[in-house]
Amino acid sequence: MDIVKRPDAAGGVRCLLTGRLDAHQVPRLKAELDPLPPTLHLDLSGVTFIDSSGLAALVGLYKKARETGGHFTISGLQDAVRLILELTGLHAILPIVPAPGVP
Amino acid sequence: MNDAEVALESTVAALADSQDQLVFLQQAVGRAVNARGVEDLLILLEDALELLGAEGTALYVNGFWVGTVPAWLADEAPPERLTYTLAGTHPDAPAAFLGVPFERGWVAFWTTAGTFQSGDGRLAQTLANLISSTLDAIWLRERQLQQDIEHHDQALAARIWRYVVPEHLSAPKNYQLASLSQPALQVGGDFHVAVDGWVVVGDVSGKGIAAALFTGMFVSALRLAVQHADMGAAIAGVLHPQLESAGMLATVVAVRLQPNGTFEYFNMGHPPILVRRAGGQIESLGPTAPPLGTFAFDSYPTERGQLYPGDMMFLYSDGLNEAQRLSPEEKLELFGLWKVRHTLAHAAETPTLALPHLTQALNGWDVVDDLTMVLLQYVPQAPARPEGNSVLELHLPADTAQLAALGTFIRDACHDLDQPGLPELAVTELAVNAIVHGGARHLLAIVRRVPGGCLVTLEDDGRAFDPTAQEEKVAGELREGGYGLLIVRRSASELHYRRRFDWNSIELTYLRGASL
Repeated sequence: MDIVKRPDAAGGVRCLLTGRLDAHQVPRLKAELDPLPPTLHLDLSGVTFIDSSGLAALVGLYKKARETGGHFTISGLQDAVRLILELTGLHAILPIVPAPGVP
Repeated sequence: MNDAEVALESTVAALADSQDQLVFLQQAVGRAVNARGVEDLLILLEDALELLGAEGTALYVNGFWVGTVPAWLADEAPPERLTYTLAGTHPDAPAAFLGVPFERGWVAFWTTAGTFQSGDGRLAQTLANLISSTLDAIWLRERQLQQDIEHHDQALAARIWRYVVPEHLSAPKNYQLASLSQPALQVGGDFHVAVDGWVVVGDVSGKGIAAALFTGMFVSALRLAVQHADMGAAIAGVLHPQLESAGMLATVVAVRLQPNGTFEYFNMGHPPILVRRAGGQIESLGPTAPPLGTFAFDSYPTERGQLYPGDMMFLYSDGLNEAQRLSPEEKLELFGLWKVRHTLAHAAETPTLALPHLTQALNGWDVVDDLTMVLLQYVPQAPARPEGNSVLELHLPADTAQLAALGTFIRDACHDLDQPGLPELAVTELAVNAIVHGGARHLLAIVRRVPGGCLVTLEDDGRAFDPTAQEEKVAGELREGGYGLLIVRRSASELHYRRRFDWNSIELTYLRGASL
């Protein structure tokens, strides 16, 4: 999995993930996002597969952001990510926002 | 006659003798040039007897008398210079004796009546010098002939070897292969061959034509032996008696590799097969039988094993581990099996890149024997789209690094389902559970096509875990875990579990047209 971080116009961090977000890749993601930026957006448009470990990582980032008063969002959901969110009922809970340029 | 006439007659006689000696010596040179051995030189000395007024002669060369000699002469020590007296005493010693040394021996003349004069000594010395030069020439000629024969034998052995030993090996299905076959200065008996799914590396003892011919027999026998159920017995039946009667040995290791990564092998006294697992650890598969030419068995059962994607197998000859050099303490040091394992453990990822690593490790070492190396890596291709009632299997080590390979296998095998992502996700969840919580070491994924869909089975050798008996956590809850079982159950139309030979076996049914 590739992880590309860059600052966004609002002063936060935009992180583009590409590839698989599974149990093998989650430790890397956690290391890259520690400490958690106050404002973090994960662009998942390049994520081709996510399992419950990856999902747990997203939930963990969201919960920590809420605890620290930060801001966390995700966008660019592909079929694989939508699938697991529907199976687990988290599609209505996680902070999903439209991808840039998408109405 | 008066004194002057006596003196003149004596001078004329001496001149005649000198003339006779000159003529003899001229002829002697010609005969020496054409001499084939020491026997010809002894005959030359015997022909000089009349000229010297001697009754007997003998030739001593390199510590041995040529032919038989009288008892009084047998133990006589070689003189250091021309001598007219014997060093030892013997009751049967002749009245007159003349001994002349040369570089590698000496000549002796004797007579029971009369004496030897200084002129006889000079002739004897000339003959000794001629004999010495001739012996040098004979030995030079023999050495040159021997070298010519050896060179011819080496060239012939090399031609035989190149004819019977293939230069390149073809890789079995789902394997990548790299190999090296490098004969020593003198062609020996190393060989490698791939036939009918078997990859074989062998080493026949000895050098030259004999080793090359046995190598040819070996390779020919292998092509027939693969047809037999007991390949080792088939080879031993043909080659063991031949090797034993020739006083030669042969070691051989043979591996048959299947497209699904399983393999069987036998090893007759050869250096151990090394397997480098994808995680980096090295396993050693040692001999299963003694070398051919020592003891023959009635049967040669094979041992079995399993390669997982990325695992690399290394077959090699003892030219590698017996490469040598002098240590800083001037002691002979061998490359050794430990260094072979260490080099393999740190070699590059693929056979093509790892082979140069292995050869470069030998820089500074003398490879005194033939060198053969074969690297095989299990690289299963994506399975062909299943047609009909086919069954696809994938064996994997229980490692999260294999999740991508597992997911690709399941997705491709279930490609014609409405959502192939569902079985991929469910199997991944089960695999992670087995790895993280079950302590599994091996995984087996099986996909069977059934009417209307696919049966997907994941088996693992971890602790018993029955997903049908576990309590499922609720959906829609923001928690950092506990979704796996929920995902598995919701993704499949049916879920079944059984415990089979210390393995968990979880079967999921996916049907076309089914919804979540």
